[in-house]
Amino acid sequence: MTLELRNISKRLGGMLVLDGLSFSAGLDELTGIIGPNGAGKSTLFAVISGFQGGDTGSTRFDGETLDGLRPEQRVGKGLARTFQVPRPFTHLTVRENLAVGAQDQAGEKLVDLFVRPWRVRAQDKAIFERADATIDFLGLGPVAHKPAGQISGGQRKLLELGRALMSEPRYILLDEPFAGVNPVLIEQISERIVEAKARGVGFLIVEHDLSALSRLVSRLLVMDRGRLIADGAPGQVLDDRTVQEAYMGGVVS
Amino acid sequence: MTEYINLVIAGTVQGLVIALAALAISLSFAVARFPNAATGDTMTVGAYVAVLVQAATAGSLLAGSIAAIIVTTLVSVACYFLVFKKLERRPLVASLIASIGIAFFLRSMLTFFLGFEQHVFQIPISRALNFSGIRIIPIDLWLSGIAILVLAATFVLLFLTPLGRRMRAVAADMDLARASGIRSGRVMIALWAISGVLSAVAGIMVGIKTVVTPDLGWDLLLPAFAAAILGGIGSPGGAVLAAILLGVAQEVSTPFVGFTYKIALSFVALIAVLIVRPAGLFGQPERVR
Repeated sequence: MTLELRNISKRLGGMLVLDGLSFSAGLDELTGIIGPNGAGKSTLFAVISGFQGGDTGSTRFDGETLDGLRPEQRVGKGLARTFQVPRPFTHLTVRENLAVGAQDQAGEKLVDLFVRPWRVRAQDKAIFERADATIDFLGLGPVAHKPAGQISGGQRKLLELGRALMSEPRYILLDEPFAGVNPVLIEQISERIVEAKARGVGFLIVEHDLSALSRLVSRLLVMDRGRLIADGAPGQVLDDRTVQEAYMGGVVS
Repeated sequence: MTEYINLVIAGTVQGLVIALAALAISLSFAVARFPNAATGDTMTVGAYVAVLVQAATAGSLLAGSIAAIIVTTLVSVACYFLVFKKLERRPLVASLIASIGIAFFLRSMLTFFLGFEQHVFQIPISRALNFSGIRIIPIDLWLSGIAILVLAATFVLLFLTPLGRRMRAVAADMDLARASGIRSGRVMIALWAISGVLSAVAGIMVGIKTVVTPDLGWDLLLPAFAAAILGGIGSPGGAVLAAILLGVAQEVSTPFVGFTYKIALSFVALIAVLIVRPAGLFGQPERVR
């Protein structure tokens, strides 16, 4: 039960953004990824989630290859992702945003609306029950019926996590869940992540807030210039000299 | 005064026809991200199928309409698979130009096989109901009723069904929709099917009100485009309201500018809106997004 990356390379505009990256992460674990800006973390997420094709290499998810699958097909396999800057469907309500994230909807085909309206109705009801449960889980009750464009940045972060959870994933790629979030909410989001993990959802988390991240994850990967330069328990990795140099260097430059 | 009321009534009927086409264009713009210029000629195809099937089935307008809806839906979905799907990742202009090409192609096919000859729907002649000078033609009532029904059904689909929710999601943010696991292909098929149905109904309505010629839909494309822009591009509700306004404005202007030039009003409205209020009359430009 792993997410396995083998020899992933990606060149963007003449720059080698991912340079033969390989690692595997347990699907029932919390794994963090850190690295200076431009280390290739966002591109890595784009490749794993299928938004960009890698130039070389292959990705396997629980033993099954993901190569050539489109993003929506990967979601169907149980691999969800969030975006660094949450951008909900602003004209849909929070509740509708969550409902959109649900998979295997009977109401997806136009003919179903006419051929089996009762099934569409029943399934839609079930989807909204799950959406309501997710709203409770994340504490979004007060804004459930507001258009998502009107909620706060922190609430958007929660909604983004909720949207990913609605697809009933086995694994979620979280892109900077704590960026621009106040300490109280960071605590709240961390708790939700731990709780989701207890329910069997694993996470790969890109994050710049090292202290919050190292409290959360059991394993930390460090990227620099498209390569992995360290891998291990958070305490151990952060004490590593090469990591400190790469990181400080990256931040300064 | 009664004369103006009659013009407003005629304009409303005309506006409802434009609204069907404008809604199809507005939806294509919101969801597929380009305004479909083939909407007009898809209407023409619908009108031809309906009028020919009616003639072949001893005057059954219902059979003609059903056949028309089936054919335009197939044409519309086929255009998606053969053309628009392949241009999905290209800029808007590529799909827009392609849709103009499809428009010419459809019209050429019609004139090639059916010629330029006019066809007329067989409609029982009925007397206008006269309320002290205000005349209402029963067929107009029927047509308006059907148009309102079709428009309402489209909005129910868009705002009250899971499919509509997904369409609005794709309209809002394609990447986020894919990250949410939405299979955009299915949403697109639904979009083009709906567009086909709307075009067929609009085409048949125009055919019944006037005559069926190869230019039937193309002539209506400009007012429909004007309405879609007037209503705020990508805003389906705005497009419908703007279409009715435009229809009424066109008719009411007839005593002043004459029958021939009323169509020019669409141009004027279009240019004025683009200059003065590019976002359209109703709300922000990215209303659906």
